[in-house]
Amino acid sequence: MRRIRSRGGGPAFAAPASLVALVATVGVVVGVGGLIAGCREAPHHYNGSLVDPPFALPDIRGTNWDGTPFSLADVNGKLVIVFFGYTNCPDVCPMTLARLQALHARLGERAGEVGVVLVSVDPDRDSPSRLGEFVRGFDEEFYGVHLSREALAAVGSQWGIMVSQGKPEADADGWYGVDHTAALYVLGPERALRLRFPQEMSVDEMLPDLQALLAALPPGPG
Amino acid sequence: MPGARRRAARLAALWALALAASCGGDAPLDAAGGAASASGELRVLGAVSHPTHGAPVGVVYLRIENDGSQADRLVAVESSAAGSAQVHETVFQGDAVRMVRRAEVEIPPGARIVFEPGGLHIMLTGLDEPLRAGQAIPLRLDFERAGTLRLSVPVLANDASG
Repeated sequence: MRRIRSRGGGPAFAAPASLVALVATVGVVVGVGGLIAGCREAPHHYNGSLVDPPFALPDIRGTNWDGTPFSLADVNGKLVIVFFGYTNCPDVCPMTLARLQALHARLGERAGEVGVVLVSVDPDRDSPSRLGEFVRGFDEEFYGVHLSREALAAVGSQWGIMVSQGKPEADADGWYGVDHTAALYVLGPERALRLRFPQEMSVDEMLPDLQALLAALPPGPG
Repeated sequence: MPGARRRAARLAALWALALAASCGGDAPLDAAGGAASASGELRVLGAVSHPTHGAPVGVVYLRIENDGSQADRLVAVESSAAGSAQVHETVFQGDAVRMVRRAEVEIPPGARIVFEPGGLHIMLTGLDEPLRAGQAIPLRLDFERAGTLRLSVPVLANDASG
């Protein structure tokens, strides 16, 4: 009220009044701008390779460790991480599962939104029950999937997964290795490829990527 | 969680120490809870194994330090807990992994050779029993110059949290 009245008080009062208006206008513009900027988060920089738009991949159909039929569509979780490995692998495979176990734990209450699937590249030696003992040693929620040789060959060529074919020369103890692609594949709700992690990626690097993917998905059960 | 893991590691280390002592072994443990042993200028440190979770194969990681002025060579590994022990190396070709057997490992003077995930490791096959966290397994390393080193290697839960 005082300012309105001062309007008629000559130039000495008019100048401060318009200054106040200007400052107020600038303040509102800056304030609103700041609010908008604050709402729009900086885009997440992915440590893994983001696949955008998501790339549709053929389903993986086999047998889960509990003997039930497996399909990617049935996996609990909005996101699914698929890893190819085998139990006669002493180094990379258990270490990768240990990382996935830690990753799963660090997702906290969102852990249920991310399914983890080990697909065996060694159908001859990895029975579903052995796969079950193996994956559940890391996390009870993990899937351990056995495929027929034919299904594995088909998935390998469709997904671009290298699996060494034929039985290599076994050592004196009967052991032989299976060369294989050990990257991690993250699939979205439509089970299309969203993200690919190279083998050596740490939990600290993978966690924010998964959180960013989850944050971009609509809420609710998946 | 890290606190609990450290406690578990310490417990496992104490367990291994007790086992080594009760067996009259001479394998002390280093600060990280891994087994250590030395012969002359050659030291083996931080030896650890992990639970097998139903897998038919086990693993041992460790590091070998050569403080001497002469090269040595790891020529054989053995464990009474396993039918066979071999030095393997994981080799990456892009995202593909394969394992290569290493018949011998050269330990140059002043070198620190690290057996770690994704690299050199000792693979145990033909395990008598699954390896479980808290137990310890005997390991024998034969070096060309330093001779035989014996360790009692603690089996510790995998830690891949970082």
